Amino acid sequence: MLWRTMNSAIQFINEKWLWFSLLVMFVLVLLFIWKEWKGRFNRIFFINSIVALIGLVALLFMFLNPTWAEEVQGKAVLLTEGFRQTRLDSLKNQEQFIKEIDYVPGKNLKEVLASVNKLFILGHGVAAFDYWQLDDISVDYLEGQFPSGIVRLNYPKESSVGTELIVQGMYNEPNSGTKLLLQGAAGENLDSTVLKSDSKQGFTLKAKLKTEGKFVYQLVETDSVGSLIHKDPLPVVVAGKEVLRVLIVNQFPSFETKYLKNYLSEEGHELVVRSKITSGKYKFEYFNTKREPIYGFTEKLLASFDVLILDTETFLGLTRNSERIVANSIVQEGLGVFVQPNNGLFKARNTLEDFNATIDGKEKLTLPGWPKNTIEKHPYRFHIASLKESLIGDYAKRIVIGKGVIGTSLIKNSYELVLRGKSDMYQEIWSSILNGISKKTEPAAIFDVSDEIVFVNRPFDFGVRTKKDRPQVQHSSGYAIPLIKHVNLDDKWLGALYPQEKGWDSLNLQLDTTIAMNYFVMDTSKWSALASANAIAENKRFFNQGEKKTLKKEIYLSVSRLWYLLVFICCMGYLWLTPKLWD
Amino acid sequence: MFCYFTGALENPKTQIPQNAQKDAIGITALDTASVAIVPPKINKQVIIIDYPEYTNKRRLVTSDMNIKALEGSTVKWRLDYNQKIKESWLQFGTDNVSMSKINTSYVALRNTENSSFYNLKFLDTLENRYISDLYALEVYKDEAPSINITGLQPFTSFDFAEPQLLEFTAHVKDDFGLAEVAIIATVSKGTGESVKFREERLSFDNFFKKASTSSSLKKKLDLRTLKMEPGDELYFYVEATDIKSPKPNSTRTETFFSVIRDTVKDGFAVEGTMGADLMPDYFRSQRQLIIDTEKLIADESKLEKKEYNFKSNELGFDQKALRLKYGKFMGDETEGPVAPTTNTMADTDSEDPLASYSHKHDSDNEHNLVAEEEHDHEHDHEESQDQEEDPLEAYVHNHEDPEASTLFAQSLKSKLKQAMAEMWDAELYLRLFEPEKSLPYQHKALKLIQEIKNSARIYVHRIGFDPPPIKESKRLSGELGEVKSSSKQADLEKEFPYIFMNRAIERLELLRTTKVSLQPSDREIFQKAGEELARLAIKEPSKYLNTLQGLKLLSEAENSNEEDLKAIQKGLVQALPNLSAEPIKGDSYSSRLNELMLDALENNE
Repeated sequence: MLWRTMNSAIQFINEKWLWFSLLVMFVLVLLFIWKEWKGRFNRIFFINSIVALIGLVALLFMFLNPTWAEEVQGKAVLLTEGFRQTRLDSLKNQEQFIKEIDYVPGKNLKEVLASVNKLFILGHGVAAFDYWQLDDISVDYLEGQFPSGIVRLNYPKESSVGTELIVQGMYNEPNSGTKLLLQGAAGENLDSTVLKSDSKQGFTLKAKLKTEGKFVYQLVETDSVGSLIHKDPLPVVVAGKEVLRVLIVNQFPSFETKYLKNYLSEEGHELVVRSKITSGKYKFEYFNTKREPIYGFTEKLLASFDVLILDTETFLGLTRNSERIVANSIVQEGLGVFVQPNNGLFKARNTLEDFNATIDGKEKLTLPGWPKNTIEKHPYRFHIASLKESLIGDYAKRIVIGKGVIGTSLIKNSYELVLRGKSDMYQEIWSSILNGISKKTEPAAIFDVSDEIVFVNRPFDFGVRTKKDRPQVQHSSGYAIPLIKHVNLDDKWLGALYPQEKGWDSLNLQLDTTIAMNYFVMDTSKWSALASANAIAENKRFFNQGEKKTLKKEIYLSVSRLWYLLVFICCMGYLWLTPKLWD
Repeated sequence: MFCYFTGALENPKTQIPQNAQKDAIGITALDTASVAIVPPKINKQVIIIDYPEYTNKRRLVTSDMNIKALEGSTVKWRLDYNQKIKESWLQFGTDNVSMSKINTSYVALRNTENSSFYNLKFLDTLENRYISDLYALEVYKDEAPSINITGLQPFTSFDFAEPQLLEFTAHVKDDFGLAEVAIIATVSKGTGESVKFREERLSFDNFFKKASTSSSLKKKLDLRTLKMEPGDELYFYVEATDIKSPKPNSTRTETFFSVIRDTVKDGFAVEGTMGADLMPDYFRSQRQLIIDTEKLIADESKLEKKEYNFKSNELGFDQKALRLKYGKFMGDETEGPVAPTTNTMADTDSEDPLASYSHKHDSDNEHNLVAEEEHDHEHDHEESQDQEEDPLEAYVHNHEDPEASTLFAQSLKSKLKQAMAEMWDAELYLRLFEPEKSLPYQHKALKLIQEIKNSARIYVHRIGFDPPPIKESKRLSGELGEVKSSSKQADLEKEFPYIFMNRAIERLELLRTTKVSLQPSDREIFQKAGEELARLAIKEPSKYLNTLQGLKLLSEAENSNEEDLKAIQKGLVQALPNLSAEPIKGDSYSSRLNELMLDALENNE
């Protein structure tokens, strides 16, 4: 460690021995002076004392090893993949003696950049894990050729059986006729799209997830004659289904409820339906669950359900006590409440939540996937007034209250879809509504990964979010991975891995092995355009944003200790020789 | 039976197709240790398909292991190996059929019932196991005959007078031969509770050759020969059975209707949707009058003349009352009853013969009108006195005369007028104590009234049941003691039929992408997945056969290569049906930051 003495320019490497050395030095100086003292202050005494002092200072410096800082003024250009030669030439034109460095990810740059205080990076940029090597240099990032190919990708890495795998992305500079093909894990073709010649083109590919497990789907890119250009993996972990527990409370039996309960119960969800027959008399129906009559709402009862479905009459007619219980269940337990609408719902005021809908006069609605089929709706339109509110499709609204959600839809008589044979549309509507509203299981911890793709021999940064103290993460091979706590967030921990083998791997919490993360390690040649585009964006953000300040870079210089030794020997030699000469 | 088949094989007449040896059977060794050993091969395979006896089809001899056989056929395999083997089976799913050794051949027999897949499995003398490719045993059913009828409408009606002839041709076809074709006819007589049915089985006119595969049969059906009368209905259909045994297939056509129109009993039917018969009740009295008149005529011999005359006059009065009621419909009060009254009778007869029978409410006001009308009739009478057959012809309105009647649909009002005129004539004859002559007029009147009723139906139907609103105070105040809460419990979850196919896919992906190797426990998964797939494959064998074969090999073999695994996985994924969208529970971690954000939103709004 370096320590600055009174003179800020000089520092000693063995600073910790400073006071001790000074003491020894002082004693030695006294000893030398006493040795030279011949009873009188003559010329020899003074000369010898000074020579002794010089020799001792040289000894002291040899031991303490002094250094001093000096500012550097060097300039260099770091050439990363995809740099433009023209840009390098013009740079060289401006800066005549600029040093050229070729970038190799992960290689030590500190040494070559020691005398450099201004660096230009050309091309796709340096990897995020090399930023630390440039933290004392002022860097100008000069973006290279933007790669052609898939430069943006979005798809769920974890999903559930029965849902659709939707792969969306952006293709930069496609050639006309380039075909993108989504293939299943075993190479079965699932969906495809043909790109037009354009500067940038978005694409969406879809496939139903049929089985649970870990699968590597493929995104295959072929040219217009069908020859393969790229084949990039899309790892997906497909989880099995988990059933919902649904409570439906209706003021009277309705077709809407009848069809909804048929749909949910046939899919295996646990369902309790209470319909009022007349005052004080109810019809209870239990599907896939045991009999347990429900007369009034209690917090304990509602805690056992994921979704509570009420018709408008029941919702508006809730007693003050029931309303409080329902509200508490939403806020604290995360219960999802869905109100089956009628026109009265949007006109009436309720104390629980205002759905904020205004009349739009339209009584029909079409869904994007079914342009030819219309469905009846209430002539209203939802408005989004705050960040707590969001729309499901454009037919339903959810409002977050505490941990839970309350929602309703505009759709009227959705059961007619089933009667018209459009069960798939009916199921799509209701599954998206219930997915948006239902209570979610709150795991004790989750893995939180920002890296889209995990490459072999490249650091893989991951996070763990948990409210538990000192979580410990274990790799599938059994090694514990050290974690550091996030600077600002109490419940976030960070870790890094250096995957060495390609293929599936996993991390899990040591205490709770059910909380695990599967990740797929792939070759660095995969998703090259995407990785380059990400690096460009990352480098631009890291180096070019914010106020630029010129960093003053200093390097520490020191004199070789042999010189001190030489001075010391000369001084001591002189002191040994002079008595002999004078005598 | 077994001997019969072995005998058949030895029979030199049994023809083996020339290309018999072309269909070589693919054999895979299951034990990898025995690579050095030359595996046994099948020199020759003969498959004999014996059709059921009733088909009269010759046996089929083939070397193609993919078999298509009629349900109930017997299939026999005879295999000759090139070297000695220890044991040989045919595997139909989990069902193993051991092959018996006869001379140098291995033979197995099986009756075809259901489509399935099968393969050959055998052990060589060193007990190395071998398995063949998978083959389809496709069983097709004897189809039911098809009948196509030409020259006949689903519904035909005849007037009683015209010839009642139905003529049609039935084209009947069957894949193996027809046993019988017949017309099943049902005649219904009468209406309401007194309806009677009579069923008859009729044959076609031309000769039907038994066991023919197609036949065109003609039939000329005269309804008169079926003793049908006006109002009777005939329902019939054609039924064909084939020669399949023990249980023949049969087909029947849709039912054809034929009816002889009954012009008199054009009854009015109240539609089921109406809560009540809203027709006024006096429309019924014309029919009652007819019944009473007929009764009076029948009782003529039993009654005294006076009583007979009295009753006749009484009926005449009723007829008049009815006519007056219809008069109200006309809204024409001046058009009063014009009938021979006691007064007019008095003019022609010194003694009033009807005095004691007449009712006082036959008002005097009618007199003049009657006289006037009678005058007209007398005038008519003079003009047509030469028509001796019917001296009263001149007195009546002859509506049967095409010149006099309106050819086109008459308005309701004119029909009613016409009906009233008929009633008038009917009354006249009743008053003249001649009920026999009155009857035709009464019938005519009834027919007209019914026509009016039928055309009036349109008005009647507009009247629906409109209950009065219930008072608010009365609502929901009923007795609820009997109403009880009810509860129902059901487990409706549908069992997913492809569990093992799913597990096999998951397992295959692991086997392919990781270093996991094939475990003995995997065999069961692949075998059961194969059974699940076989259910799908029976419908489309060509699509899934390779996958099924791969699964079969996997469930028996000890190792495999990646390409095979990939192909099997692909086949399985493609065979799985798409799942419907359904809600999922999902999980969501609520981080401290999210909670703070939500709190802030809650507090700032």
